[in-house]
Amino acid sequence: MLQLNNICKNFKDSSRNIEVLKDVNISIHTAETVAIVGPSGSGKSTLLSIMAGLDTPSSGEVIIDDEHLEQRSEIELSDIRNTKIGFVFQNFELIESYTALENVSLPLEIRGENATKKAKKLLKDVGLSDRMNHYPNELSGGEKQRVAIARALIHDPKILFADEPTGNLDAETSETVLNVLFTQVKKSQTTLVVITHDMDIAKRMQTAYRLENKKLKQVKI
Amino acid sequence: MIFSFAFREIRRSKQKLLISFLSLVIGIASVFTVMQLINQTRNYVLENSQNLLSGDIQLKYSEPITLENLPYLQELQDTGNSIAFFHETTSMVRTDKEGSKSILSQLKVVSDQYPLYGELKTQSKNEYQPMSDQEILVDQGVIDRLGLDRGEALKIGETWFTIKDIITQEPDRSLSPLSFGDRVMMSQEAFEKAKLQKIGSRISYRISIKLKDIKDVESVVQNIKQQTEGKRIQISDYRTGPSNVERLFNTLQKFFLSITVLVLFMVITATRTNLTYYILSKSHTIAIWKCLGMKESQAFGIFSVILAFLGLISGVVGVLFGLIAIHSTLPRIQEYLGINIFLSISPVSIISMITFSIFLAFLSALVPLFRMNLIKPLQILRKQFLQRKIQKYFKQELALSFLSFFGLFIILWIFTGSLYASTTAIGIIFISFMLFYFIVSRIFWLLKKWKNSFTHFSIRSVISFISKPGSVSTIAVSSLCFAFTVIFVVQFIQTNIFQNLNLNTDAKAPQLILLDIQKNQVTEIQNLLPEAVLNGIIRAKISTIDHTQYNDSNYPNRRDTWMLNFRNTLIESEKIIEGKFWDKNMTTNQVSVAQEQADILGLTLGSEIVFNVQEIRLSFTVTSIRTIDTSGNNPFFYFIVTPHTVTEAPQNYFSFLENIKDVSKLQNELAEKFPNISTIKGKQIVNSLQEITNTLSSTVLMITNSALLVGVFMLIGLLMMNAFEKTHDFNLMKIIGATKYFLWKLYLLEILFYLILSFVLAYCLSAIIAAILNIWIFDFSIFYWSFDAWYIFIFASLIVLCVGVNIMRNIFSKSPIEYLQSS
Repeated sequence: MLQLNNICKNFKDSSRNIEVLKDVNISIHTAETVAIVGPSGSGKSTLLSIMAGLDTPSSGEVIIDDEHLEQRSEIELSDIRNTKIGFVFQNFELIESYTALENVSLPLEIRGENATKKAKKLLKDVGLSDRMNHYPNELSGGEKQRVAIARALIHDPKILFADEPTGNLDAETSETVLNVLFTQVKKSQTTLVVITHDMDIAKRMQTAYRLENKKLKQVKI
Repeated sequence: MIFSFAFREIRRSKQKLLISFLSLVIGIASVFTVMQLINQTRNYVLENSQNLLSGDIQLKYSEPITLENLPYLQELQDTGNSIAFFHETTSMVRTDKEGSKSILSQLKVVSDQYPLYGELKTQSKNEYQPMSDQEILVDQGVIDRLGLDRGEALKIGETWFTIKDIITQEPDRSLSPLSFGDRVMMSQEAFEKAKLQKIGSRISYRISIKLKDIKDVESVVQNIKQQTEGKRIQISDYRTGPSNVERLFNTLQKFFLSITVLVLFMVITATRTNLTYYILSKSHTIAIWKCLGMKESQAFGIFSVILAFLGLISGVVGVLFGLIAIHSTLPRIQEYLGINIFLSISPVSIISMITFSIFLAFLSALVPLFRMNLIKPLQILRKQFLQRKIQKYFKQELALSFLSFFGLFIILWIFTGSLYASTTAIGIIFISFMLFYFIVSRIFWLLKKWKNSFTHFSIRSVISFISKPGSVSTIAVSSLCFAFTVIFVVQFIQTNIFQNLNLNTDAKAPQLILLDIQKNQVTEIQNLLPEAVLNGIIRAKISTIDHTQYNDSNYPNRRDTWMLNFRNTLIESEKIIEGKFWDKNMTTNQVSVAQEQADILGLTLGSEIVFNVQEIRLSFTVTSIRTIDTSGNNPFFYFIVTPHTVTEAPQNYFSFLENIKDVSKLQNELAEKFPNISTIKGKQIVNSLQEITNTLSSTVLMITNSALLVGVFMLIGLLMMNAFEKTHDFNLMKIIGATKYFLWKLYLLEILFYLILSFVLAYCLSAIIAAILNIWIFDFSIFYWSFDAWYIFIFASLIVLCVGVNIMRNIFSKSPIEYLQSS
């Protein structure tokens, strides 16, 4: 499903050349759940950007669903993100001026499809059927993250990236949100990549990797 | 410490403070220019009131009066008071040089005592000496147009005169803007030699009185009023004359103040929007300062220094721009009013304007600054503030606008010293703005209601954003719409004046207008110009209407003398809507009345109206009411009487001439054969009216355009504030698959929505307002659309789009994931 081959990423900072990733390799299968852990500043965000086609590697290959991302145009990458990739963020990242229903519909609306019916069903699945027409500032943290999960799944992505999905939630709400996430992912047979500090979440994944010293290593948790 | 922190912040925030700076500069420049121009002109008129009246008291009348008619004046003269007579009329002047050229002139006939006040200056610098009966003084225009010089001859009426000197300053030159021709001045004896005074000649007579003791003015005025009762003589003195002028300036001041208040209101809103954005962007810095032990008062002090500096620099630059505007506008005003103002701007007015600028900066920013101070630093550092509280900022925008109105009211009151003027100006702006706010908010409400019926996602997305609770979009669109409306109304009025008065096309104006044709000249004129239609006129006053004494002050269009036309046929522009023209069964004198005047004077079929023709009372019965189509070049008369009833009345004729091959040649020929007949080129009238309309509209547009510019700044401020949210929303959309093209489309659509909504609303509202003014004030039956407004819209759109493009470039400058993580 997702394959990274010899990924290197360098940044130029005035006169210095900073190497963030070096020969990163990973292969993730369909419906597999993967955790990527690592200390702050280890390059997790850069890796996520490269895996999602939001940034290009300095060298190496990124393959999602048999499609190479590294040579794709901006428009083609947008299209891949819009059809094959879903995202869930630590800060929920909902659009404040849209209702919950509109936020969930957004990925399909971008490609010009009417998504209201499907969005309503997904919101019902995540237990928010009574909050559809509420704006994000009228929702609790857990509710916002459930809206974000529904939005990440509405376009039936092949792979879902979750960046610290419970980082801003209390323990009880985190558990609810994770249950929703795993249930939905399992139901839709979506590959899940979670970037987290929380070892308890990592333990719930089938595979775990640690990003350290610019390299990605599989670990047993 | 406070100063070093403040100046470091200013250096780093130049770009963020730029819009506030520009808004304040425009506001200060507009206020300074308007205040100075009005005050300088008004002060000039008040200080030179006696010069402008050419005396302490002035009598103005339409029929000749001599000292024998008014023995009290003789008595005044005998007791040491000075009296000067003068009168004005138009006349053709001619030279036999260069193939006998002739032009129309404004003739002023003065007695030896003229001028009683002020100084008549001539080119030779010699002190003015009374003219002999063979000498005249002329304007430089006469010299230039006829190719003459001092000492050369000029024919006026039936006599040749010598040009004694060229006038460079005339103390009592009329403030009337509409005059066709250059000044020629002569003595009473010379005027008699010219033999210009004929039946029905249009002469304005005046008597100026300089009192020996100025304290007597009240009693002298009262005595003159008693002696001239019923004679319809206008009496002004140096106190009431200028107060009329002052009233004119107060009206002008009120009008310009209303526009200036609009500019100021928009300046405050634009500055506040931008400073709110600036202070929001500084919230993180303030939070760190506070965490590190800075007191609230110190943080407040730093921003106070920034605001004071911003106000100071804006004030200085605004005053400089104002001075440039004054220096470039004043010559036009002087030329327009025929006065010579010595420009003196006191340092106090400059300092007070700069202080005002600092005050404006504080007025605009104090509230967001105080609110910022109340926020706890940890909330900001834990990012609990920006996302949630920003909406509360927007919610309070409208309340702050009201506060701005109150602040402006106080400022205006201090500036004008007139509670009435400031209340009126603020009242007009407040009510108008509330109307716009109401309309815009209702439109947004409707759009939100119908949002789901739009199938296009981009449109729904834009509606979601603008109708978001607490959004500042409503107030920004209302203000921009308001600014657009003011400008469009001015342009509509200008277009309608030009189109309705045929000022745009010379072809529609008659080529030549012949005035003051005497009855004994009719046959000769008809032989010379067989196609000329001569319109006979009799000057008359209304004595009674249906046996009730007529008092012109009871009617809206106060008119002393009316022109009665006499003929048996209607012209193509006239249509009888009631009665008969003429009723053959009636034996009494008949009159046909224009519908408009019939409505004003309350005349119906059968009404009796008595005219006073040189003290002879003639009674007429209304037998028909007409409508007149004024869009063509046909002459129109409010009253047409049966010709046989006025054959003995003093009358003269006028005519419009078309299809003339050589207008100047015919003009010269007529001047030579009929010296008393004035001939005016249609183009000359068109040019004069064009000049007046252009001067007025360009002065108004100069101020209103600054309102538009500030409106555009405000929209830019809105876009910059939105950039906070847009950066987040667009980065998120990019992550979930939106292309740059899609996001560009979304953003441009939003900007265009603001612009187009403001434009369409403003265009429709201004058309309605202008159409109402067309009927009520200008009495034009046809409404013409103005498309000049489109250029302004395109210009404003381009500025806003450029800013939008820059904001978008900034949005796309960071990697989306990194942006979301860092925000």
